[in-house]
This record gives sequence, C-alpha cells and structure tokens, in this order.
Amino acid sequence: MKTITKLAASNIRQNRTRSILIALSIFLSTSLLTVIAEFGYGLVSHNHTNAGKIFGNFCGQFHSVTEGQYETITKRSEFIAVGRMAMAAEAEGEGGKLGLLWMDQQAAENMNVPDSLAEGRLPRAGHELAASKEFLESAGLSEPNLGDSVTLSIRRDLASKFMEQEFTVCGLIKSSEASGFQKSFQGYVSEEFYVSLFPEGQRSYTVNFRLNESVEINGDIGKEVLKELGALCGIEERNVLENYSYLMWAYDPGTETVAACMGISLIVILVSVVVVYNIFQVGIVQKIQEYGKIKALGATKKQLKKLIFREGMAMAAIGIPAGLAVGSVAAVVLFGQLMSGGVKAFRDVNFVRVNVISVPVLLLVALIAWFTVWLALKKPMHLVASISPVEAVRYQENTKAGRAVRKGKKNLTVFGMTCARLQANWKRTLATIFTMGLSCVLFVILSNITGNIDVAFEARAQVEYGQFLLDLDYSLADKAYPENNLDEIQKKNPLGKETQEKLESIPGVTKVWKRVVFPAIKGGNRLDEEGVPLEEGGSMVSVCVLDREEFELYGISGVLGTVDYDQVAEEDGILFGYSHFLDQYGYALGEDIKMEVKTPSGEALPFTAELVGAFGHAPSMWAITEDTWEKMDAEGEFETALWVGCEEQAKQQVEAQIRELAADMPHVQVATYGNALSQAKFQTRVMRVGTYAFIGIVGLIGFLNMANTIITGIVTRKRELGVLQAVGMSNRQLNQMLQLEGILFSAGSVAVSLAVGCPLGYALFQYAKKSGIYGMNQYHVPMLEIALMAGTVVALQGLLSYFLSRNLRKESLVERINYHN
Amino acid sequence: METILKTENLCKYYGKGENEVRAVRSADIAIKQGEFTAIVGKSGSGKSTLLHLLGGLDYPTSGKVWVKDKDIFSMKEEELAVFRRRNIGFVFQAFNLVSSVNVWENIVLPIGLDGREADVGFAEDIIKTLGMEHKIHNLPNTLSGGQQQRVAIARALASRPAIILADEPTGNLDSKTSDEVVTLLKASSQKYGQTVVMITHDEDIAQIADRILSIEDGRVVEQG
Repeated sequence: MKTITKLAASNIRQNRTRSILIALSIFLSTSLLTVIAEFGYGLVSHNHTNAGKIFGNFCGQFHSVTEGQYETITKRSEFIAVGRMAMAAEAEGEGGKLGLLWMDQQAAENMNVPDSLAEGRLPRAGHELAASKEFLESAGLSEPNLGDSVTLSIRRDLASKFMEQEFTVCGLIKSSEASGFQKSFQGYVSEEFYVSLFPEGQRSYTVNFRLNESVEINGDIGKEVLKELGALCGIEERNVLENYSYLMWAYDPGTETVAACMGISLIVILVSVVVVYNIFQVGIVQKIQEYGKIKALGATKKQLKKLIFREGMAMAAIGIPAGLAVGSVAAVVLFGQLMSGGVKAFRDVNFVRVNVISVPVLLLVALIAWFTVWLALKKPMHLVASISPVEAVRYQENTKAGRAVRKGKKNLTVFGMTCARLQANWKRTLATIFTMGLSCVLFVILSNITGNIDVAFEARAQVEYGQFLLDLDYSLADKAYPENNLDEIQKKNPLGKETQEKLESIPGVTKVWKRVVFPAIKGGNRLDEEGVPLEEGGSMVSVCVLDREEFELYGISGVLGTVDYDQVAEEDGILFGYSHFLDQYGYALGEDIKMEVKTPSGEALPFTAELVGAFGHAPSMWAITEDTWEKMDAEGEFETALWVGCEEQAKQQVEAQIRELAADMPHVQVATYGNALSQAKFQTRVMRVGTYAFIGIVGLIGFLNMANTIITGIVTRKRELGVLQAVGMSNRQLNQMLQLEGILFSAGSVAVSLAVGCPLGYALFQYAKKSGIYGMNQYHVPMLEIALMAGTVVALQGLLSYFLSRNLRKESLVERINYHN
Repeated sequence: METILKTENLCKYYGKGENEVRAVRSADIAIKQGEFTAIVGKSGSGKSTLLHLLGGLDYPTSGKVWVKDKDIFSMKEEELAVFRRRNIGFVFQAFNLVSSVNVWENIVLPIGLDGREADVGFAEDIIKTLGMEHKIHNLPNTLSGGQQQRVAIARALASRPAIILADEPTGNLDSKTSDEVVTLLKASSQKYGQTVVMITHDEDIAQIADRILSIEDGRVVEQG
C-alpha cells in the first residue's frame, strides 16, 4: 500500500508541469463553481431575509377600495396586516409636482416608511407633514428642520381650486441618490387632514396586506389568488396588483423560477465537469504508456487503479481547497460590491446582513469538484486495467478508430501538416475546442445581459430625438383650471411655428422635430385615461399623429391588430395606445370610434375611424397616421412636443438659449437627453456593476482554463515538435504551426461558445425582460462583448503559442527528441 | 573524393568538476562524398552525442564541424535549421515518423518544409527501391518496425542531402529485419551516391560499411 502511495507521489513530482496544470485546472473550476454557488446563495438568502425591506412587506394591493370594501377585507380571515392609504392632495412645487399621501400605521409599516425616516415621526394629527429634504426645498423651505412651518398651495383633485395650507414639519424622510433625478416628490399627511378634504362617501383607498398562512400562494400563482380574494371583497380585477418580487422571495419562488435557477446551475456544473475532464485527457497517452510500464513491472489491476486514483486525488486535495478558498473570497468581495451599490439605490434601507459563505454549499461544491475529478480519472483507470501492459506501453490515441490510410497531398506544407494533425487527432481536437468553447459559454450568456442593458433605449423613451425636449405640461380634465387643458393651451400654443423658427435659428441647432397631439371629445359610457367614468357629454382624450418611422418604433412589441402604416393610412384607421388595457377599457378591434376634434379656433370636427389595432405603448391614448391627419385638414397649431438636435460642441450654448426661451413660456417644460441618460445609467448601475464584475470573474477563469488547455497541449507534444525540427522545421515554421493551430482552435472555440451561448443568452434575456428588469428592451447580439472575447481568445492563443515555442527552444533539440513525457 | 564532413578537435562535456562527463573528446573526423561510414561503440561510449553534434542537433563544448565546407556552428539557429533540412538527413532509432500524415507525406515532409515541390519521380523511385510502393497511403502506426524504418530512410534520401546520419537505425528491430534494413540503406546509398554515417553498437551490422570508426570513452579511432 505504501509503495503505491510513494509511486503516486513520485509520479506527481516527476511530471511536475502536467501535475501543476491539472491541479490548476481543478483549482480554477472549483473557484468558478464556488463563486457562482456562494454568490447565488448570498443573493437568495439576502433577498429572502430582506424581501420585505426591498420589495415592501405586503403580498398585494387593492386600488379604488371603498370604505365598505375595506371593512370586508379587514373582516376576512385570509387577510392580515391590512394597511390603508390614500392620495390626499396635490401641491404646487418649484420645478416639480408634489403629492400628499395619507397612510395608516400598518400601511406605513408594510411600505417600510418608518425605516426611511431620518428624523422625527410620521404625522399623527392636524396639519403635520413628513417629507424629504427635496420635497420641502421644492415647496420653498431651504434647510428644513423639525418644527418648521411650510405653506403649500394644494388642491384635492382636478375639479378643485388651489388653496393655501400651512403645515408643520414633524418628520424628515431620508434622501436617496435617485432623488437627484426625480421631478415629483411625496410627503405624508395625517388621517385628520385627509378626512377633512374628503367627506364620507367620497373616500377611496389603496389597501395593502399580507395573507394568512393558510392561503396557498407563491410567485407563480400570486396574481390569480389575489384576483379571487379581491373578487370576494368586490374588488375589480384591474384594481388588483400583486407584489410579485415579495411573493417570490418571501414565500415560494414558484416552479418556473426554481427551474430557471436549476438550469443555470446545471450549465455551470456541466461546464466545469467538461473542462476538468478534458484537461485530464490532454496528454493522457503518455500517462497510459507510463502506467503500462508499471503494470509490466508487476502491479495488479487493483494496485494500478489505486495508483491513478491517488495521483488524481492528491492533485484534487490541492486544487479543491484552494479553489474553495479563493472562490469564497471572490464571492464575498463581489457580493459586497453589489450590496454597496444596492444600498445606495435603495434609500439607505437597513438591510439585514446575510452570510455569503455557507458550509453546506461549500461541501456541495467540493463534492461536485471531487466527482468531476473522479469522472476524469475513470477513463485511464478503466483503460489501464483492461489492456495488457504491452498494449498500454504502445498506446496511441484514436488507434481504435482504425484509420489505416490517409489520402494525403502530393506536397506537404506547414498548413497541410497542421490540418493533418488536427484531423488525425480529431477526437482530441474536438474535445479541446469544446472545452475551450465551454470556457467562454458563460461569458457569452452573461454578455447577452450586460450587452443588452440598453440605457440609450431607456433614455430615448424620455427624449425621443435630438438632445433637448420641450413639451407641454397639460391636463385633459382640469375642471377648476380649464386653462391647463390641452384644448385651451393650444389656442395660443407656445410650441407653435414661431417657437419652432426661434429654435431653428439658434446657432448650432441642426434639426427640430415636432409631435402633433390633438384634443378630442369622446362620448359614450366609457372610462377616461385615469379610469374615471366619462361624464355625460363625453370627456377629452388626446390623439397623437405618428409618421411612418414612429409607427415602426412603437410597433415593435406588444401590438394587437395591424400597426402597418400603409394599411392604417389607407383605411384611415385609429389605434389604441396601450394594448394591455384594451379590454379593460371595453374596446374591441373593428369597432368604430367616434370623436370630435377640438381645434384652436373652437371648431369641433367630427371624426370617426375604425379601431384597427393597438400599440404596446404610445405617446397618448389614441393614435392616427400622418396621412389621415393631413386629410382631416384641421386648422391650428397642435404641437405638444418639440425636440432639438444640435452640434455636439454647441450643446451648452443651445441648452442655455432653450432654457431662456422656455422660461417665458407657460406650460412648457424642458428635458435633456443627457439627464435622461444619466438617470437610465443610475437605474441600471447595480445590475451593470454586478454583472460586469461577474462576467469579469467568469471570463478570467474561462480564459485561464483555456490557457491551461493550450499549455498542456503544447508541453505534452514536446517530443513530436522536436522531431519535426530535427527533420528541418525552422523556428519560424514551428511558431507558424503553433499559431495556426491556435487560430483554428480559437475560431472553433468562439464558434462553440456562440452556438451554445447565444441561444441560452437570448433565453436569459427574454426571461429578464419578462421579469421586468429595467434596461432590458430590445435584444441585439452583444457584438462588442463577443468581439472583445474573440480578440482576447486569439491574442491569448497567439501570445501563449509564441512564449511556449520560445520556451520549448530553451531545451536542446536532442533533449526534446529524447523527451519521454 | 571530396571531403563532405569534417570535424576539428570536437569536444562535448556535460556537468562540472567531479561530475564532468566527457562524452566526446577531441574528435577529428573526415568523411568523404559517397562513403558509407559506421561508428561503432558500446552503450555510453558517446556515439549518439557525436552524431547529434555532426548533425547540428546539439552544440559542442569546443571544436568545429564542417559540412560541405560550412562551419555549421557559426550559423545562426534559423540558418542552421534551413541548412540542416537541405543538407542533412536523419534516421533515428525510434523511427520518429509523424503519426498524423501518411507514408508519402512523411517522405516529402523535409522538402515541403523547405518550400520546394517534391520531385515525384525521384521520391517514387526511392519508395520502390525500399519496397514501400504499396504502402504510400498508410499511416505510420499501421506499419511494422522494419517498414517504419524504411520510410525513415526514404525520408532521409528524398531531399538529396549532403549526408545522412543514422542513429542506431536497427536498435528497435529484430536481427532479420535489421539485416534487411541495413542492406537497403547500403543499397540505396550506393544507388543514389549518398554519404552515410551510421552509428551502431552491433559490430556485425557495422561490417556492411565502407569504413568503420570506433568510439570509446568519447575518443574516436579508425578501425583496421
């Protein structure tokens, strides 16, 4: 027994390079598995522990709840921790809108509002107010303190006039980094104040709640369960909203999510197993020959199996613990990075810190790594045990395939020889390509996420064209201040021709785009955009006019019926703006939509069009084509938005002039593409930092594994390369051959990684998009990341081949020719 | 006859101090064009080291080697590689054929590496002389030891080198095959006017040579 162990140890020492490479590959794969497993574990336990703090401590919300319905909800045993809140009033603020919200203690706790208090408390009575610094500054109170008084101009709804109201600051809410991008802020008021504005019978609440343990619910079935429960309390389907993330993390993720996670884990495990397995197989020929010699000296099958097993296990004993240690450190660092980014974005929520390192997870990873090594050892163990010592000594790879002849070529060049070699060892060639390709698969999969974080797309949703946007801030149903309604504003449209000409004349401006949205009175027993039933005589709706390009842009996803510009123009049809809500609003494709266009001169043009389709989302509730609009021949200036494009170097001056121009224009607000982009970048920051850090580690480990494969491949062919040089191959030709091999391997690896990675990456992208992850919009192949990966692979191959061939030449030709393993 | 290979005070020492091994000591050899020379020595006598030095596969501690009046160790590494493939053919004990290409491709390999087109007629003639014409598409691992060594000889002959260096060409073969191979080597070298230096430990095999040198403890002496 001792002899076998000694022999195994001396074998490891003897073949030091190969032993180091194998131990290194076990180490790298174990590290990768550890990072992924521990990071995943950390994320799951963090989200599970902090689900309430991150997503709110409630299973769902019911909107537009009457007092009676609220009573029913509180009486039913299925609901627990029922909280109630309502929008009390809106207030005018400098540069943005302010909302005043009342919520009871339970609703506040469900929404984690007490956690967000920096100082003081939530309002209890009278005219108390708790708000953020930004809210109070917008209301004109610089450097706010507890006990300060602030006077707000408020009104309870669009039918009411504004009135002055003094409040006392009783609480200060923490600011978040996101506040910098916000234009509207919310403050909290007391129940007494809310009740004073809304007499009994006019009150409408949003109710949030958790569910009794007896109710079976999870992320998958959440919506359906809540709809059923809502129906029991008289809540309409459209007023039911589930807190999907909370349900998923705090309850049960549901089979779909579990399946997705299992799928990703399986891919990682598979990649690791294949990588380690294949690295073991590179250079196995010499090992088999060597074991054959030991067998010839009298070792039994059992002893040989033990010898091989101990050799492998000795290297696993170094590689696995080292991999677990390094992987754990990487996971802790990476998780820490992600969390620090997350905390900033989540308004200083006091997260419960979770331990990323889990002993059971580490043990599982160690078991998988060990299993992989065992699997890789099985082939040589089986081979050596089953063949005779003579066969083992003469063992050649692929001899079983039995290819006795090769057609060959009349003349043999370096290229021809390289191809012949790859072809002759096709199994090893494919295994190497596959191994190296798999090292890059995870990179490609994740690139499909990172490469598709589309901040520009999100920013363009805010500012569609050019650099600046001037748009009208209008209402459609302001009864108290009808001058704020679109039809009134357009009577003296500040975005009319005169403004357009002024904008065009600003030095540096290259183009001005415009959007026409016209107001129309639409009758019938329907609901308006706010979901409020239309009053008799109809209410105002907005209809946007879109050109061919915009039709294509808005027609990308979520459409119903036809959104083909030519077809809609030919039929003079009309489209609904939000396909998802078509049924809720009670419309059906094919029906006639009747309305009266309100022109600035006060004329009412009757307009009837067939509802031919619906966009996923559009600039307004209704949309028609430019062609139809021209036929309508409505007189007046209907622009509601102007976009300004300018030369890059003139941006600052143009912005200054636009702001100066807009300062004198009522109802006009200015937005810039730069701000929209910064906002989008901020919102995707956590995801970007996390995935890029992860992709970096995955890439590094993948590339190191690849380097390992290349080094092993060259080192174990030292003798063969020496012979080639002895019969006349020059150093340059040797270099050429290795480079050529490298390029062919690289091309194959990139092809494998794309063939496997892209479909999986696409599926992951679709999953992320479906899950509503911000920034996931339109899929495109992540060319930049792929080009970067291919470039790195080729460069790595080239550099390694160059240095290895130089290194080989340090030994004399005679040493190389006489080299045995 | 013109001298094709010449050495002057050629020495190769390994190690230092007490551990110094003098593998080749002050060897002065001259081989003439078309000569078949055998260098005979026991195991460890330094014969392989001498052959490696003659072929420019290893560098001497001191001394010089001229092949076709060219001091091969004055050449740069890359230049030597090109010179070697054009002027020196090797036949190794372990055959050292390239396993991934067939018999024909192995034979024309040094010519291809030199960027030249193979002289098909000449190569075919060599193959026929060595009796391998039915095996040209075979891969090396399907051939017997004797057949593999015949391919190695053909490879050495095909590029018409100035000299062929054979390192124990029969070392891995049984006696009957050894005789066959050596006879073929002799016959083909005569047919193509090829200079051959063969190293062997077998005195009987050496008898086929035109001239026999013996090597003992690194010193080369002419035999009777």
